[in-house]
Amino acid sequence: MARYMSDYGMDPTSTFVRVDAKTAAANRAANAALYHGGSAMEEFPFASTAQGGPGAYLTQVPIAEQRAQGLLLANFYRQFGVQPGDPFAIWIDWNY
Amino acid sequence: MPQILDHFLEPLYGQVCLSGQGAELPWMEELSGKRVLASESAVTVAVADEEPEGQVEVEVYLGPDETPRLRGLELVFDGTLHLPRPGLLVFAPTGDEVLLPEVKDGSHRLALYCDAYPVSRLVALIDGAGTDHTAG
Repeated sequence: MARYMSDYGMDPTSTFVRVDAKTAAANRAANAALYHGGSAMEEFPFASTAQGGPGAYLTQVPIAEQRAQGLLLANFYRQFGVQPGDPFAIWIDWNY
Repeated sequence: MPQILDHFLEPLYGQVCLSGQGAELPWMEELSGKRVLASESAVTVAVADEEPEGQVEVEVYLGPDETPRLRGLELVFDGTLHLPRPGLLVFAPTGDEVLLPEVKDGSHRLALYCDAYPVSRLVALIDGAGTDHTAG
């Protein structure tokens, strides 16, 4: 995530917009077709955002990490009531 | 009560979840090597390792009156799920989500059955035959 935001010159605080489940699945499938690494594929921006899909940064991570990220992101959406169409920000602390 | 859900779910992140509304998913637990992660109010089932190409059919039955054919399915979870509010959510992380308002708040006996791995069919029995009725 940090690498993508750095490579693309994104501000450490960047805004993303959540998309509906159908679009998220389409983004995920599009990237899976482009991805030639091993299991499991991690992507950023997330497939569940309007900024996801083709052009996203794809990398290989352990399957447990990928699953944990999915649950963590789902928790975030639910905890803060982020619905499709809602914007949210990701803040990177480069000094962390 | 009969079958209350027959839904085809796109299993994003290779997982299908059942939980109460507002329940936190157990993301810090280690799912590798395990099929199921459970907390008091959420159960997560790993249904695929690779990017799933197909959907998972999720069937949910409530009460003892109707039991589906379970031949060829493996019991992957048999425990208790507590719903702090009425309604059970069935969903894939960040993806498709279905709310089942028929399931009351309180503690429920939950049994989950899957076919082969990767999973294409997941059957959930809530307070099914032979289990305690502790909802409410």
